[in-house]
Amino acid sequence: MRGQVVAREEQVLLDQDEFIVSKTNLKGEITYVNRTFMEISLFAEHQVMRQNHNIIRHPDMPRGVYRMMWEQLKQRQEFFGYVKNLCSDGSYYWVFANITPEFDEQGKHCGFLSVRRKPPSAAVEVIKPIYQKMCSIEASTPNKKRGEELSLAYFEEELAERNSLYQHFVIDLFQENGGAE
Amino acid sequence: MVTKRKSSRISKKQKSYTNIPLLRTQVAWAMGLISTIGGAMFAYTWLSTGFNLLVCLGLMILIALCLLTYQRFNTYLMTLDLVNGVLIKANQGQLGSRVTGTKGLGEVGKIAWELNEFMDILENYFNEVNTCFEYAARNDFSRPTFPTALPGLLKSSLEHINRSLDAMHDNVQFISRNELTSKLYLHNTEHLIKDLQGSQMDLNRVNEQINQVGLLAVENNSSAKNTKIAVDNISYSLSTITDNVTEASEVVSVLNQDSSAISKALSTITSIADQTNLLALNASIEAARAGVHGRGFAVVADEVKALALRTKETADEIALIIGSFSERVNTITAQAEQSIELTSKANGLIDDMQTSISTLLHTAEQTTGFAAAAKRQTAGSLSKVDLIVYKQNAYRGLSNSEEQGSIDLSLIDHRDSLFGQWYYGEGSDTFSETQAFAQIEQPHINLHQTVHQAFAMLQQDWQQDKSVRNAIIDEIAQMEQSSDTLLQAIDEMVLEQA
Ligand SMILES: Cc1cc2nc3c(=O)[nH]c(=O)nc-3n(C[C@H](O)[C@H](O)[C@H](O)COP(=O)(O)O)c2cc1C
Repeated sequence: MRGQVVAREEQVLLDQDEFIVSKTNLKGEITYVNRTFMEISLFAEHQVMRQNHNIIRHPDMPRGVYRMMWEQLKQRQEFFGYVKNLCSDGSYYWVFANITPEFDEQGKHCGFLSVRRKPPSAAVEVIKPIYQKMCSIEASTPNKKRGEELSLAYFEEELAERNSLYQHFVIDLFQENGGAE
Repeated sequence: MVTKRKSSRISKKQKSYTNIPLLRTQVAWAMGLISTIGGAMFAYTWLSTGFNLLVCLGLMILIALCLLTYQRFNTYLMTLDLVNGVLIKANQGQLGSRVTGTKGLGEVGKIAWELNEFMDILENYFNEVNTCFEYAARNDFSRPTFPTALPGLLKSSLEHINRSLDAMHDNVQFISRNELTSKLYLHNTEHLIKDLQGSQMDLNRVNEQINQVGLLAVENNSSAKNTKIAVDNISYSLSTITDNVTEASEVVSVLNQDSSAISKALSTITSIADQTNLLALNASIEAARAGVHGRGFAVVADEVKALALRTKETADEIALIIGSFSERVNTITAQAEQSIELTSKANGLIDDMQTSISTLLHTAEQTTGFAAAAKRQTAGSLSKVDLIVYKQNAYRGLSNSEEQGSIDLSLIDHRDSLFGQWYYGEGSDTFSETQAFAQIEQPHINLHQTVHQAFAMLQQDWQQDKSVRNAIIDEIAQMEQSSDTLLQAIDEMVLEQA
């Protein structure tokens, strides 16, 4: 399914009082999406069920971010991040995503839950140039894994310059720009 | 206890299900009943009016419809079962289940979606609450909840939680800052007092030495005065000697004149004696020739008489001269004795003067020694004060991030610090010979290192992380240890050089 949609420059905005919810199994295959997900991404439920979540992956997103996300999730820790997602008509929307591991009745790790909120536009403006630079680093590195490492190292530099840690940085960006109103 | 309550609740629910006839059975019964009634009506018409294909067809359609309705109903009911399952799990505290694939199920589908979204909200709410408290339990207040997009009460609940977390954070920060500063303060005062007492002792020693120098100065002064008196006495004695000696030479010239007078007198006596002798000879000759002629003899006798008179006079004169001579000799002897006495006195005075001068020299040497010791002691004290001031800056910088001046001074390289400049410069000129001097370098490097490490740790999340705060305190304790070693080595160095 992925790759069929051609991205184009049209932004769709999430509403302040809505959130997008999706759930996946351990492999990252979608097991649930809420109606807001379907409304904004223009995908029907049956189109996304059992599909890998990368179905809405936007080409402008650096791979390093997902690598960091999975590393975080593997350690059973939540992940926060600004993500640009693709709609089925090629338009895009920005979200401030929170992904957490999910556990079943027996306390067994059974999947992941993602809740996405509307990000403050000022926060997106800060993130955009960083992601662009990361993408160009990845594009200019032939080895995929090495490219991700280098782009993440660049992100780390940016964080060090701001004297911050990744999670503090993204949460602060959200809070300081009136994310919580 | 909790599980018991839970299971009793489930069994209660299951019990209540058994009392209510389930929709599925009700529908099955209804459809069965309709089919049976249809069948019965068909059988009745067949028996009374014979086989009727139309009625038969109608019956078939009726039964098919019943089956279809039952099946359709079953789909709704299955979805409702799913909804039920989600609710039961939610009742047990499991908020993760959702109902999917409800497209085209009309009102049931709508209910399923409302339920899903209700569950989304609930699950998110509890996730938010749980997660941020998990963080807070680790003393991490960087993770707020996100009230946006949650409805009404849940939203304001999360907002309240955020505010409480902020308050908790402030509190923890306050407590940890207090804890840090109070521990730092404790170390500081404890050591500051010790340091200051050390300095005080040093200063006392310097004072003592300066007092000694003062006493020596007084001593020098009085011995200098004594020297002056001794020299005065000597010059007086010497002038007396000169006077006496000139007097003596005058006496000697008089003595010379006297002795020439004596020799003249003696020669007179000699000639008289010769004349007397001659006269006596003449008289004896004349007496012999004239015998009775007494007259001549009388002349001789007169002559002898006059001679005897002159001789007596001369003898008197000699006795007189000799008397004055011996008197003069006595005077000379007395004067010579006086001279000898004066000379020995002068010798004594010169001896005194020499001892005075050597005392003066000795005390002057001592003075120099004391002054040098005082200088070394002062250098040691000053270098100690440099270290104490460095530590004070570290304490100030650590307790207040706005003390930029103190922070800059604390982060300075050990060679560039005031103490370092002294140690590698002037200090090395004075003390490099001592063993203790070499022992100073390492603790001084350690002192700076521990301070630098403590400041590096301030970059971490010390407000939330007690272990970071403890690590800072550990570094400072080590700093004080190095400082103790260092101060002791400085004392030893000063002593060794003395
Ligand atoms: C719960 C969950 C939510 C996810 N949401 C997104 C998303 O919104 N957009 C996205 O591009 N990837 C999302 N991912 C990550 C994808 O699974 C995938 O790793 C990513 O799109 C990179 O795809 P790629 O490895 O094929 O390049 C999500 C993963 C999980 C587990």
